[in-house]
Amino acid sequence: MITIEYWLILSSLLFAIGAYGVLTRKNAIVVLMSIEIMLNAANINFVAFSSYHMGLHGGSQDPSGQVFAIFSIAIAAAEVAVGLAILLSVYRRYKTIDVDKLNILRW
Amino acid sequence: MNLLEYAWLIPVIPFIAFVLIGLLPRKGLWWEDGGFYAIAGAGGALILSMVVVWQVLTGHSLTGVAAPSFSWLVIGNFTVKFGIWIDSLTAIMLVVVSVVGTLVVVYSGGYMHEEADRRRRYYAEIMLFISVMYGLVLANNYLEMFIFWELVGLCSYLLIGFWYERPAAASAAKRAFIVTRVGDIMLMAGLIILFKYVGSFDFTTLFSGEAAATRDLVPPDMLTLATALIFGGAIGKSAQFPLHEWLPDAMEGPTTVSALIHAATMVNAGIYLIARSYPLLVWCPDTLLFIGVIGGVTALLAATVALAATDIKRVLAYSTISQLGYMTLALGAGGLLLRDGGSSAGYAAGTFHLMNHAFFKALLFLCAGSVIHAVGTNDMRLMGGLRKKMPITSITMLIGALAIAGIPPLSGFWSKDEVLAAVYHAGSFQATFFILWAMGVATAFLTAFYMFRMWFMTFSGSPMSEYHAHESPNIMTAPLMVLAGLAIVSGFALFIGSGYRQFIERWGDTLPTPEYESLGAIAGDVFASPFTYLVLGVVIVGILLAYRIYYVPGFDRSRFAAGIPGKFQRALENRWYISKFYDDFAVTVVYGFSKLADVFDRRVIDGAVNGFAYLGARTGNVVRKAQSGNVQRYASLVVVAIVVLLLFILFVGGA
Amino acid sequence: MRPGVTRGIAILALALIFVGVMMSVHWPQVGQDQLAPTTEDVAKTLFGEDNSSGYGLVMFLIGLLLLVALLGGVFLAKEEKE
Repeated sequence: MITIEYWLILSSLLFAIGAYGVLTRKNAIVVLMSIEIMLNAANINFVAFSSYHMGLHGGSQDPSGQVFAIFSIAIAAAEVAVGLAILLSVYRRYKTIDVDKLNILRW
Repeated sequence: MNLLEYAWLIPVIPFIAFVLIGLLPRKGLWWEDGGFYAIAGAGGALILSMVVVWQVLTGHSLTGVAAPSFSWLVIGNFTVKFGIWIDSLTAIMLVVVSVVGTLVVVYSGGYMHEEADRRRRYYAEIMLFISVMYGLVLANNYLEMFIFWELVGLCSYLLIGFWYERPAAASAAKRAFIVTRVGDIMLMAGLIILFKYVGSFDFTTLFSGEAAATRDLVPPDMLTLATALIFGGAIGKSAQFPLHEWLPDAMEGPTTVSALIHAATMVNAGIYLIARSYPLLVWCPDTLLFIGVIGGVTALLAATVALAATDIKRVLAYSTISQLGYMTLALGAGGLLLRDGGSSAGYAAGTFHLMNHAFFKALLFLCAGSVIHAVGTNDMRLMGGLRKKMPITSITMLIGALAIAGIPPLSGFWSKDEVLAAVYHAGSFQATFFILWAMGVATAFLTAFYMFRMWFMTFSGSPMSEYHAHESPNIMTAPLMVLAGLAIVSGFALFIGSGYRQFIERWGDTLPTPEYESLGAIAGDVFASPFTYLVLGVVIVGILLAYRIYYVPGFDRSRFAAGIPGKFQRALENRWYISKFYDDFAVTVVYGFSKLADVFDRRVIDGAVNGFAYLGARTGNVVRKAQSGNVQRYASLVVVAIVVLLLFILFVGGA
Repeated sequence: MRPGVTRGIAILALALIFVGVMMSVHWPQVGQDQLAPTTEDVAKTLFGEDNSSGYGLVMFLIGLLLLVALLGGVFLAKEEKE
């Protein structure tokens, strides 16, 4: 039987992979995808805890975690939409989406 | 007693005159732009002072706890009070200030005639001065006296610098104020020491019961220091060595100012202070010796410098310093006499000389003013032969010169004699006073000599330059005649009633009253003592010497110009280089110090402030490089921080 | 070193910390029959058993948010007209 640790380790590793992608990749779209991965890791966490939740009232299931995961997915979608739109504008202006080159807001 | 309680009106009347002269519109000022109010103010104060003096003469006084005062400031459990204190010393000072003040104001009516608009300022300032001088002599605690002391210094500054467009006058006024300020600081220090131990400034508290309270509360060395510092204030105000240089320079002011302030009243404030502090001084023999030495040295020093002065007012200024030295010397000797010998001869001599000197010095100054007014110059070398043209002035000035030289029966003889006798007797308690006595005799000789030198150069012989001289108007000669009369008769105050000495010795309960001396005894004392004749002889020799050198034509004075006498002459002309020494000292030390302070200020303090700004800018310059604009770098910093925090929490613990 | 290496190490450290912490926590045992809330439970929570419960309103607002975001995205991504 699968204990909750496995799910949590899965979500941690996913989170780490997503973070690595955010910090390291040059292409801005890949960065956005990595952010998505991180969000999904958090969602896995939510669902795992809600699934294994025993409750303090002896046996009552609390699906709030899963409900929240749905909300989280919706928000992630909105965020990606806006993010991609901004990236498009940036590309139009600077003709590049290399994050290393997009450093106008500096000293 | 009732009348004496109105004595506080005495300073108020001239003060009202001051306010009126200052504030009324031009039309309301009438005659001489305020001269009328000035004479009225001074005259009113004179009348009141005479009433007070008459009361004192008939035995009343207002001292001790009976002295009325009103509380001005309450600070914690200390109250600053303003009150009046009237005893025989006050009466003497009142006589001097009121008589000389009124006569000088009358005289100014004529002397300041050409000044037009500026007369108003002059009269206002003179009235202010007279009012604060009265306040000073009537004060019943040291703090009040100090306040008026400072005010008197202020008025002196204003009046010396009356012709402020002249840089010499402005600088002289500044110098007077600053030099007397040095004295004032010392006075303040002395008062603070007294206050620290005794807790009060009142004369009643400090002096009562032979200054028992003061002696109990103040350790003797502190008392000596305090009294020496108080005397320091007198050194400044009465122009004793080493703070005497402001007085000759103060001659830049109008002659009436010199007569009033620098001959008769303000410089007497220092002597008054010493006399007033007698109950404290008699317990400090060291201070008394110090006072005597300073007095004697000043007297001789100033007399020597007067020998070479060519400006008529300078001669009189140095003469004033010299005579003030006599008074100081007398008071110093008197303290020893009182302490060790139970005799108040020195105190009586000092104050008596104060009164006489005020009269004949004011007379001399006003005569000099008359001469300057007529001739247009101060330089004696350009005068001569004025005797025919200005008879009244020349006779009154002759009277003044005889008085100061000490020819009987004029006043100067009696008082100078008393002074020297007291100093000689003090020598039996403290041997230094013998030397000081010899210096006093030498000073008497020099005084006679330079006074008659001045008189001969001015009035006799033939004119040395072109001028149109005429006798002064009556308004100026009347005071001269009054003062001349006073100079003749004030000496006889020694004999009026039960005698001056007995009069001045009435302290109330503060010091033991000595036995009475009959008039015959006093007179007998004077004429039986060989020293009288010694001094008289010395004086006559001085006059004859002056006569020979300056009156009889044909004496080749340039004999003295070369060699050692020549060096001496040059030293005297440069006032023993004291002034030069002070100036050089000020330039090197003070200016050097100020340059040092400037460097410190610019380099260290400004450097520190600028340095901080520079440091901030440099740090910012370095730190701004952190803003690389690279989002991934920012995010990685967040991750690293999270890792560090987590490690911290896990391994180091924490709440 | 390439910046990626440091960051990689940081990420690795983060992951290891997470994993280490998870493993060291004592999770309560769950019986097989008590696993997993049903879909019915999810629906009940989401839309409410009675009139006053449920996250229906929240859902609606999130939908609104998505709509606005999409419209905003479309606007931001439009070509500039010459």
